[in-house]
Amino acid sequence: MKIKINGPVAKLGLGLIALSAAFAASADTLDDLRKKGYATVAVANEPPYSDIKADGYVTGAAPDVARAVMAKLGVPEIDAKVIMYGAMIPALQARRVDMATSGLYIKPKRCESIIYSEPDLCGAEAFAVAVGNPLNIMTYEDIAANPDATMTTCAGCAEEAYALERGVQPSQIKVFTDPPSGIKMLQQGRVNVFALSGLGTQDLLRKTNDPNLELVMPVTGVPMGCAGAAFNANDTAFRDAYDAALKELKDSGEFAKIIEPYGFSAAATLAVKRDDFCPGN
Amino acid sequence: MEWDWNVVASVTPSLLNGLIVTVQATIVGAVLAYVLGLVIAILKMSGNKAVAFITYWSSEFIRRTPLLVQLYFLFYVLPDFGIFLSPFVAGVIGLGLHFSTYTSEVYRAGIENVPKGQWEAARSLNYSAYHTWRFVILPQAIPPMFPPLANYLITMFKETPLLSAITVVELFNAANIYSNSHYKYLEPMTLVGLFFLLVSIPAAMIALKIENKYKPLN
Repeated sequence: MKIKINGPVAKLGLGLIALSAAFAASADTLDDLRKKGYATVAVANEPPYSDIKADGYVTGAAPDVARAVMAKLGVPEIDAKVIMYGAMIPALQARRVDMATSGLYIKPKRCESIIYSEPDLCGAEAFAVAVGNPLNIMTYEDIAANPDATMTTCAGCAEEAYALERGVQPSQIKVFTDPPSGIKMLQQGRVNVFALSGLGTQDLLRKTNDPNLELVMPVTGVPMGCAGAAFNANDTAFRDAYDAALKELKDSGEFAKIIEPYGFSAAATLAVKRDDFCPGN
Repeated sequence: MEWDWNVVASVTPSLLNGLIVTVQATIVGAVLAYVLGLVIAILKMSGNKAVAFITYWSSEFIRRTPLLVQLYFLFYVLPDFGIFLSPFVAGVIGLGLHFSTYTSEVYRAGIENVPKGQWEAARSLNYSAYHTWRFVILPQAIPPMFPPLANYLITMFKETPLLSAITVVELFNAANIYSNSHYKYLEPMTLVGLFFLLVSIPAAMIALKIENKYKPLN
């Protein structure tokens, strides 16, 4: 059967569909969020970057900054979805979330797919190893130099890229499903090194409280990781508004008050710009 | 969203490695499931009431809890008791143990479906236990078992992605690791589906052949 489209009513209907589609495409994401009253954000549940309390309330340095910025922009609340780091960019591209606020480092390769706000959190890198550091692992190069050494980190994380760029073989990397499982793998001797952000690793070790583990921080030879809020590549207007509000927050000193209790240095973050990592993003 | 053949080219080698692991895990897991299933079936029919009781409830426990939970237990909890299994071994044991509780039911049904008259006839002819099993019961019980056992093999094959939860880099996990660092899901996940089909369709056809061959005559 052929479907015929004619008659004034049908034409009007088609016209309306086309019109509404055009509106949806051109409408500003930020306006939609203001109407909705909340933004859906991706977090990784990696304290102190992002932390989900037992009652579901999302906190941590990155979501707290995002909450303050969005409040300035007229969006009073954020709703968090836990998404693994590797899946955040596809989630942004598919618009499953409005933004990612979880300490997603600003990296040139990621900037090809998404856009970032100005940096909001910077930190050193760290390893967790068995106490006494039996393999004497201080850098990624040390792991590369010892083919028997194995490490764990999250799939698609900056740490995985650092390792591969510095000659660690893919067979030496066993990706964990979530950071606490990674620590468990280290405790059980399944891997020799656990690699993650400095503050994230420190927080995990404090919570694990295992005298058989120790922290190596900072890991030298890798850049300081700076994260920003991440957006769909088409949301430049939203991102620019976010940047302006973030700048107000930074200038007023409120920014430092939010992130410093979590252990982040506001001075380190204020010293860098997005263009240092991804010019023209 | 556009199909990119460059992604296909760069992801295929690691997917093929993953497929090998998937097939290995399936085969080793299936052998374990078939052997262990037979042991469970025999123990369940044991004359010793305590043995039969314990076997029955252990197998019910394994059959009524999720495989994923069992895998986490084998991988993350057992080392705390001093039992340290590699990801592959833990995965294969989890898969084999879980499905052995299903295959044991196949064996049990196969044996129970041999009509009582056959047992009575064997007894009236004064056959020994060995001769009864070897020449009367098993020749009738085993052929109907082949089709369900073959189907469980295919089911196990499709369950292997669960092993990714305990860091086994099988087909699905290989695709996932690639997707996580390259932000491409379309090509890797489509290929995963294709590779699964590539194995499971011929396997299903073989299973159908087996089913037709061993169809009960009545």
